[in-house]
Amino acid sequence: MIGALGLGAVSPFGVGVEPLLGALRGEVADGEPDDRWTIAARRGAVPGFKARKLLPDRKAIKVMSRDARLAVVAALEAGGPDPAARLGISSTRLAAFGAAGYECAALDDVLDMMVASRDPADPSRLSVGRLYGEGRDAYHPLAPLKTLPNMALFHVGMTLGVRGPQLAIGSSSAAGLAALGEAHDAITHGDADAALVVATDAMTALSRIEAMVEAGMLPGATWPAEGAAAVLLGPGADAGVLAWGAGQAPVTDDEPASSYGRADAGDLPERVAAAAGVADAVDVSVRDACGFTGAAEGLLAVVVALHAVRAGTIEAARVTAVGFAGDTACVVVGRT
Amino acid sequence: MSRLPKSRSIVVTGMGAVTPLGGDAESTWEGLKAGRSGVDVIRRFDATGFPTHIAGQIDEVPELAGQWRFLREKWLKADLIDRKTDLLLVAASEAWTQAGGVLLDTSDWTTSKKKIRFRRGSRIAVPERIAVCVGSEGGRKLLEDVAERVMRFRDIETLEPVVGNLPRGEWARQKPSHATSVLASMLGVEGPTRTVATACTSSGGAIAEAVVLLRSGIVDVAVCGGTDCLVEAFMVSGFSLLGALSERNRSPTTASRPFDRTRDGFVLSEGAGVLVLETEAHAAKRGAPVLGRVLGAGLSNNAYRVTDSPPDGRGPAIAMRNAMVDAAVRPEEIDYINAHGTSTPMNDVSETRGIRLALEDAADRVAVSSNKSMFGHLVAACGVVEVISSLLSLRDGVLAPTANLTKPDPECDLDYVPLTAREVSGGLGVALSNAFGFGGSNATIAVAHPDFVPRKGRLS
Repeated sequence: MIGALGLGAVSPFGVGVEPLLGALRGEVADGEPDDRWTIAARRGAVPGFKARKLLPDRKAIKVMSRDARLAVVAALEAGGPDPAARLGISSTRLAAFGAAGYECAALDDVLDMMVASRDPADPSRLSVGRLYGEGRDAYHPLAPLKTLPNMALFHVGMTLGVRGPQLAIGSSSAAGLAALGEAHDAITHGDADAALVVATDAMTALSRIEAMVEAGMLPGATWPAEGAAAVLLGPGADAGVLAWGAGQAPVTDDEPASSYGRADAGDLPERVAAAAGVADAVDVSVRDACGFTGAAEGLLAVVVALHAVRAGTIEAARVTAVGFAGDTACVVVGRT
Repeated sequence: MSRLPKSRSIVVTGMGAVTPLGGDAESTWEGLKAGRSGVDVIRRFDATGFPTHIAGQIDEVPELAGQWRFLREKWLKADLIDRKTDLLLVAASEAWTQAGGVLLDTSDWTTSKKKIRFRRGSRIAVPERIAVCVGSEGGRKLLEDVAERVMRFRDIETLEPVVGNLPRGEWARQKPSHATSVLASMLGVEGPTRTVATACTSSGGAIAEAVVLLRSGIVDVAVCGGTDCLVEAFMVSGFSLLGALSERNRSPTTASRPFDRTRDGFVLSEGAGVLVLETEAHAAKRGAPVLGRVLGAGLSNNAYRVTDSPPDGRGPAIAMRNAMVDAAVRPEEIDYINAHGTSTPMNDVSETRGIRLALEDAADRVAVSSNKSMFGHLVAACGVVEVISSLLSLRDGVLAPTANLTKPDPECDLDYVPLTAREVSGGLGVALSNAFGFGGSNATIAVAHPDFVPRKGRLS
């Protein structure tokens, strides 16, 4: 049966699945403050995340966004450095499905260029003329590539040798679950023999914090956090996806924009549980523990759920996610 | 990609496009057949300080009519309409109208009996049986917006001054999935929505997603496509830093010259395209005219370099092979390939070698041409617009040319339909449309004439 052959996670509790599970068991009370920005809201950053120590290709690090770095570390834990060889399959039969972050052009990545391009006469404005002068000199030539939404998946594919289908689903909390479901279907129907599923997000980027403020999530019960999750799907595992579904939350009044960012999953979770034939799936969420990890949070919850199923703690679990844009997804995992 | 059993053939019932060549699919197609260029000097900002100051531009975004216009106004009032969303809506309204789709009154939205209606026949689709799949990237904010935010944040230590002070709707417009959500909501769709964000293969990937959803029986109808508009200072600057753009500024109309030995980079452009795809059974029940078929899709990953195409063409070849397997067609059945053909030195050689790898002996008989020689590179939208061009090519039995191909590159040794369109006696049956993207993603879509009879299953 198709199931999870490997799990990986990077969370506000550290690098690896274990620190996350430890935190959920109550061994760690909270994440550590991050020194990248001097605000309390940044406590959701991954403590001790040193890309140069964790990633094999140091030259690639400077063209990797925060999202990509987190993603590759999680993928390496799930799949090892060469998952195709580990599984004895051709790299062209190994797929990579992933969820891109909320905003691909994180301001952090273009900050130096923009600052160097200030108009001397009015520092609050940019000078287009200086952009390709002073701005260019302050910028790594490959840095614009950090802003592409599929770059995390590219770096995963590059580092782990994926030559099968690549599909990056954009920008919402539901995207990680949809990527998992798509990967499961792709293997089931013969498009690939195995797939790496990766979801990543750094909601600690300033522009994403803005998004949370505007969506009414901040100030509130949660906080911005960063994380990544990875699942290596393939045949021969005893825990995996039992059923999944996706939908668009209905617009509920005659002012469409007012529904934006405030949707719920409707009856999708019930329909997916029914399709899975599971009456008592445990609903799993990591938001209370981790903070809001954006596009990563659905798959992080799946990693926790699959671990619990494999350990025999629970029989089945359900994870549901609703994006700002009303796109919803639900996955039921259990023994396959 | 495919989902077996393949009992559900997929047909095209609506097409819409907006490009620098025209405000709809037919005028774009007329421009392509005529070999007309949509490339000119950049007018949107002063680009004279950049190495490149030419691009494909849509000077006037066509206005929407009727209910489309009414609903757009509602989103506009909430500051949730940006240029890429606007372009997508223009293409979607053309495609949805051609398919016979009717937009709901907003008063219908509150009722529990909401149905999606079509003009033709009596068929009524339920909202959760329609999907929307869009290839799009993040809204690259206009330079001034970015600058203003950066200046504001550099000197503060807390978030508080920002809260309550944000431009309304800006956070939403940044998300790649924003245009998808607006379109899905305007259509009243409650089925799956997908935003594929794989750079230049985004809309090819979105079509592949639609194929998956239709084949698996999750939906009956999929509205799929893509939109992009990167002709702005930040992106021109970024692509210039990468050395990817043509610097043939003195001759904008001949700057994009795929497969020509004097090619020096691609020409940035903008546009959108939308297809309405249905299962053949659903289209037949409501009596919708069939405009073409989508036989299958193939995806692959290069695992090579971030911007470079693999010199051996292996990644593109895998995508083309996957598409042919998925479509159950043999290489010798391919009449035409709508190439990615960017006009960069590397892509065009890599794609040529990829076509040879995938089609083997049949590569010497297949016609290949690049639409980008005329409307430039539509980035996230190029996949779908070039699929539409391929479908119209099959319909008319006419191959659009590769413009500006005056000095053939010896390393590009296929039949590229140089300079003028070609009428094919006996018509055309099957075409592949390629899209390859930064980050190493590749997508190939296999399409066919409405009269083509698809095989069941797929080839091994």
